[in-house]
Amino acid sequence: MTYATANGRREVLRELSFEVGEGEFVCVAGPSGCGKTTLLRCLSGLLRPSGGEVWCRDRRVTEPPPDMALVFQDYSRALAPWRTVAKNVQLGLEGRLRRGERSARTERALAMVGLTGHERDYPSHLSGGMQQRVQIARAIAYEPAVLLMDEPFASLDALTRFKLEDTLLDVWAKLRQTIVLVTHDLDEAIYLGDRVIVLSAPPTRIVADVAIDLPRPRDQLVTKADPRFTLLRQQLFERILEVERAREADDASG
Amino acid sequence: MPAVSRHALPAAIPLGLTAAWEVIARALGYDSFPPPDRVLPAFWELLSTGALWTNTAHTLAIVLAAWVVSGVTGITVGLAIGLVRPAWRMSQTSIEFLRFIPPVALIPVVIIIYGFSNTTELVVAAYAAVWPVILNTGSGVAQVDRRLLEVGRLLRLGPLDVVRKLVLPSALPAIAVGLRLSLAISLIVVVTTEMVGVPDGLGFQLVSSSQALHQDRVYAYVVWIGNLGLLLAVLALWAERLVMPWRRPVRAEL
Repeated sequence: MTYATANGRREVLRELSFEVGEGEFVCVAGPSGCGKTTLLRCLSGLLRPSGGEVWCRDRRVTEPPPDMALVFQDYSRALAPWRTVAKNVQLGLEGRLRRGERSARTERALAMVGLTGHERDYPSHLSGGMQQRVQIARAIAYEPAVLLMDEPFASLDALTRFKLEDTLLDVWAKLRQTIVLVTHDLDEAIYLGDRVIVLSAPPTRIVADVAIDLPRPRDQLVTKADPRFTLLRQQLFERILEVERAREADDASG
Repeated sequence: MPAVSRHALPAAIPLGLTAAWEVIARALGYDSFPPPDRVLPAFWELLSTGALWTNTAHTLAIVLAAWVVSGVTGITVGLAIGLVRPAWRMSQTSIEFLRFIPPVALIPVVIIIYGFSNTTELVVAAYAAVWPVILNTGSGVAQVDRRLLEVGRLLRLGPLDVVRKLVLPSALPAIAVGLRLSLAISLIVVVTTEMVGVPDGLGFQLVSSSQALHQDRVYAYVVWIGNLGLLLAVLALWAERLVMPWRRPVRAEL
């Protein structure tokens, strides 16, 4: 993926190739500015890659496909302030489902993220964590086969983040969508994912792609205290440092 | 804030100004500058003969008609130039030229076409009042959050739904500002047209009173017109709150 910028062309993603299995929870972690968001925008069909292809279930992605949803980091911009919580969740369902089914789905989705009773609130009257729950409910109500998430918890405080991570794990345990979640937080990636893909700084490549064999259901305290968790974290960090050192050496010699 | 001071504060300045008017007018003792206690009887007289009501009805009807015409036209044109970038650039020069033509300069021209009629008043006022609606709608539409448009793409909304459900509502606060300006301009220009061109309504009564050397009536009309404007502004603000409930602050329950 190459962007044309004011200072010429800038290559953001290079030779990024991976597959995600049906129902798999994959976390993509990498330093900020490594093109994680660009990658997700390509996967979602919002952005056409300058080279390479994205495929989703035997179809090439050139536009946002109907069975895919994306949750943005900036919930306050992604929600319509003039729509109530329920109306925001229904945005993608209007004109496609009958009223009864629409509200049933909305109700289910809101219950799953713990927002029952807030149907008629406006987003501006909710906390950040709750607004992000609304965005997740909207994605769930759309009933996508693939759920993409762009740093969904990055602008929340630590405690709210942990709660939302667990909400997400609950939702996924019930619905088993394919999830690709992008984050800069290695701990979060290991805690949530079946698999963690680690990216380097740009031009971005995959530097690690490891399966996370931690047992489920996971728990913020138990899982993170598990020696295997600590070991995975250490291995991934070492790998990142190793790649960085190699690159610095390369730069110095070349 | 306690209820008393909430209503008393905005009333303080008008009451003070009226008192100052009384004192200064009495001290000066000019026939051409009557104090409020001479204007008030003139006002009651106008009220009791019914002349005030028929003229007010005439003027207000045209103000509202001009406001509706300029509102509908302005929102339509503003939407078009806000949505289509080239249309904006193409029309910018013309808009900046046309909106600086003083409406008063149009009065003789329009009188030649439509005579001394209600239509003349309507055309001149609607012309003057359309510009703030066009410009505010245009910039409101052009400033729709790009994130929200991406949400629309991801949820696969059609172009009509994008405009109806995302663009227009998010431009609504800007459109409301344009409509409020347009209402004030309508009132001012209708009265002006009646003063210098079409012999009808409040503006004409104001001028005739002046020519008949009834200064007390002139002031009665001026104060009355000001109060009409105030009433329209209050109604517009109230309607705005009704239409945009999400902008109301949550009131703490005590």
